[in-house]
Amino acid sequence: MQLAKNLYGYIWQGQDNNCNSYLISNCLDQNRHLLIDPGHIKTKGTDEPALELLLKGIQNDGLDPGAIGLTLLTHCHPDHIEAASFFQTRINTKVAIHRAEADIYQQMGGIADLLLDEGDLKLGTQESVLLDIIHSPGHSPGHITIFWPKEKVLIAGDLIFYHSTGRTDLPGGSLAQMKQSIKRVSSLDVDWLLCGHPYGHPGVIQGRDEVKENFQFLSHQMMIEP
Amino acid sequence: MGSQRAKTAFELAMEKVAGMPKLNSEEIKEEHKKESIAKGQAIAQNYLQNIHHKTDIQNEIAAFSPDQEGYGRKSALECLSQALSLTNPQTSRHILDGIAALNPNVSTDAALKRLNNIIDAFQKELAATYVSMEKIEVKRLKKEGISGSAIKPNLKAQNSWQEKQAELTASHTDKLNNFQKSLLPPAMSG
Repeated sequence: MQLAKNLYGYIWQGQDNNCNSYLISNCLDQNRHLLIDPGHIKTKGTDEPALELLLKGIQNDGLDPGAIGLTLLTHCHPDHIEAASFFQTRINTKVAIHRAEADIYQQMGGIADLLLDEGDLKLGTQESVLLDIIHSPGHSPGHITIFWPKEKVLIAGDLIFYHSTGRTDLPGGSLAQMKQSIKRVSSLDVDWLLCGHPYGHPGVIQGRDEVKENFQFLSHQMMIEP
Repeated sequence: MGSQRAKTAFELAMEKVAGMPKLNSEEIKEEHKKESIAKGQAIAQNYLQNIHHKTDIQNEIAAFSPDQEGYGRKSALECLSQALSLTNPQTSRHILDGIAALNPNVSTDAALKRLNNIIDAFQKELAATYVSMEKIEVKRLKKEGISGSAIKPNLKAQNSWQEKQAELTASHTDKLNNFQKSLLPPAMSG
């Protein structure tokens, strides 16, 4: 579904675990798109056709899934990365992941075309979309969040959900780093907080006040020092 | 007609051996040579795996009979010099210490300097090639509309880089091979 101009969200509505995916349209050369976290091909528990649903969702928005030129992975967990190889092998989409998770990604059978570090990502031959890649460890060592300052959009992966956060008990997780990462992004000017899962809420938090309330809730819950 | 005792396996084997033609002196010499070469390799491997110290390998080679000592020493030296590599320089000094222990014409420090020159030249060319290939890839990405400080091509995962790396390694391996030969005594290096 379209969230804003050139911004689309594909909110996971199945029963099994899978992530939300997001898309920024027409931002690369030849009007190709950026996809963030394509998720599972099929869910692990009940074989729900996650990728098929994503592709249908993209088509229903009048976009061509074959025109996805770049896939960013917020982190290297199967429920976020599995379908990346589909786009990479079928339509030659480039796959990018944080440098700290490239080896794990390779061990899981993927090959990253591009390595991410903290910094700016300019998309389009006229550099019409400027994104900030923010290294946000805590849920995993090379977790990133993606900030689009012009549109005040923060794509949070599994750092932040509605009134909750990603797990820190998985390999490479760290509660201390999670608190630091949340503290950093909470200072950003955000109108759209786009979460990696629809846990108890679609995971699309819209509006400056709503986003602020979510950060305040988390800061209080996690005793994050102001 | 008395009952005949069944032969043991040992007795049967000894009968077979007795029936075999005797080795002539040349063949015996060849067998001893093969044995000495295998022992020399084992001595070098034990040193490379830090099971033995350099004084141990000197003693073990010295314990060979005079006519076999040359083969054992040569195979140990060959095995040690083959372990020198362009990509694992942290083991160079240890290996060269072992070589110097078996070949008094080799000085560890002087040999290490020569080897480091070869490795440095390889590493520099490798790094410069990586940078230039990365620049080309960055330009290509920019044309596709992907740029910025957050993104770098993962060149190491690409076939083009792996092929180039193999090509550079091969070209510098020739220099390494010549250096390895120079670590053997002149009579052995042919």
